[in-house]
Amino acid sequence: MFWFFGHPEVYILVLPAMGVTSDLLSTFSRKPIFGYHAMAFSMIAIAFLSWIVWGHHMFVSGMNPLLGTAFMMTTMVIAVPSAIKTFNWLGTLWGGNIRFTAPMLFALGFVSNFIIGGLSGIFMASTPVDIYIHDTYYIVAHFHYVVAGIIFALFAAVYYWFPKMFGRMMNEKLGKIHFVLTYIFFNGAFFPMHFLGVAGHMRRIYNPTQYEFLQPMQHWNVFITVSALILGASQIFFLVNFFWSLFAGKKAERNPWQSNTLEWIATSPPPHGNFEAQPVVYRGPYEYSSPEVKEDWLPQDKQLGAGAAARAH
Amino acid sequence: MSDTVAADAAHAAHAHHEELGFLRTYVFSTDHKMIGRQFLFLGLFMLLIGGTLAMMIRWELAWPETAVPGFSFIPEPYMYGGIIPPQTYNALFTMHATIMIFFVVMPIMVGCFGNFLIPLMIGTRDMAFPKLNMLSFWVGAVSGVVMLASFFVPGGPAASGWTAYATLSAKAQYTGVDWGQDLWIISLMILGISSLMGSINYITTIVNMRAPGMSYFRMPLTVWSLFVTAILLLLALPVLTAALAMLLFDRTLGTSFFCRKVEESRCSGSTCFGSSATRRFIS
Repeated sequence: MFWFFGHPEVYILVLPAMGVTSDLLSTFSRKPIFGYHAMAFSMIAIAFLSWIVWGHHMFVSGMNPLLGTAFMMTTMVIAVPSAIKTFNWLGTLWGGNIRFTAPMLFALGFVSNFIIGGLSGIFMASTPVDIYIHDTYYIVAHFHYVVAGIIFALFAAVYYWFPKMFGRMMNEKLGKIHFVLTYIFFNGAFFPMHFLGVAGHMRRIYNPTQYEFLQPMQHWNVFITVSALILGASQIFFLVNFFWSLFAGKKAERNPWQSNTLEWIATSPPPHGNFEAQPVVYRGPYEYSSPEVKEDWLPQDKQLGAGAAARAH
Repeated sequence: MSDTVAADAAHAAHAHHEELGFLRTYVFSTDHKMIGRQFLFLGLFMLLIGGTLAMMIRWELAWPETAVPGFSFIPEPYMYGGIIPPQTYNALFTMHATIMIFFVVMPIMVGCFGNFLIPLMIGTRDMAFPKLNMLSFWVGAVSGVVMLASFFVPGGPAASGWTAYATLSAKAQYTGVDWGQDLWIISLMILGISSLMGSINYITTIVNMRAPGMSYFRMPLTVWSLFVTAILLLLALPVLTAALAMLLFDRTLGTSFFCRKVEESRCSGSTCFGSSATRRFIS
């Protein structure tokens, strides 16, 4: 019963991260998102599939192996829309004029961690492998790569929309330091958990040194903890940046990232009622580097001349 | 030119909003942007707590049964001069997961950016139900307070893992946690109501209040993802709330949804897990 809720729940957590990442990659690659409709439909597919994969949390609960196989299939199938999204992200980046700003770096960090977490997910989706790694640190590594990986999308979103929320820019240099430290020590903290898991390190274990077979692996635990402590400490850069920018950051203009979507036509921060006038939308949100205009962005509400409008479909 | 006229008209129409006091502007605000900021600060505050718990867990794993620096102030029997006993360790990872999932990622990704971005990105003035929106935040905040309060009750906070499997979660004697687990259940039920109100609001706003010309396939993917998320929330949360209610009844009213009552003394892990697993299949 718990997992009938629980698995949709983890997709509740990851879907907004995917949406935010899609927007950011397109904006900072100065390219339309690759496969917009495929992105939207794969989200719907993930949402639907998330209802029929919950059994994979209970492979070793004594369920009928046939049922386990069915859940194994659905779980494998959910990798398909996820992979569609990942390849579309790569397709968006391909040949783009990428601007490596702090939010973009965090969005890229989310994508790379999501790939690692997704690949380890395929291992545990298959029942024979899962019986071996069930409730080990391999699982802990997997869900930290995806769920704690969401923190990357979260930071990306904060850096990206901070100017719109508070009317001031965040400091780019501090943001980049924050990204580099977070990315290195995130992987330092969570990647060795795969090794521990394969070595049989149980999840939710109190004292690993009590087990003889884990003693040779204890140095990894120390390594993970040191990484995690530095990871925690590097968040100070974020906190300092956040609160300093809140009061003393550079004043933000309306559209600091030269983005197309409607929130950027409002002032930063938007007043009560958001827009000076009701915006009217003429096109999709990802018309970057359009040949219709001189700039490399084309806001959704910008009305082009009659000739251009006729050429646009 | 017409833009400025419209802007003036909008300003005139909303001049009375300038009179809102501190309380209505920053605390009990119905403005989606302020509610979004409130969710952001709630999430960041909880991130600090959840992160601290993670550091304590990692300390225990790397240097087992040594004193965690800076935590010697926590009284026995929860910690012994900074040394984490097994029961507290169970509580730590349970609360770390619960806080990170329900009070960091959900408030920030769904609560904060959902509230802040949906009306702005689809080009509308506010959410469909601004007051419901305010209620959603404050109900969520109450849930956070209940969750944090569980740190201070006798027996400490919930210690059955964030998955709260019966029988660990259904019987106080297995984890040694009585009140903490009840508060954990109550807090998540309250949070469920908060998220439910939020998701109803998101769905209604996206379906009804898109700007002229903003068809579904002109929406930014962030809005698409929040739309799909809101539908998932709407469908998934009643299941969780029902399961939590059943667990709470098992714990307090003596029902036996998750754990067989007969032969309670012999209610070993395997029989109970078998029965609860079967139940999960049936339901």
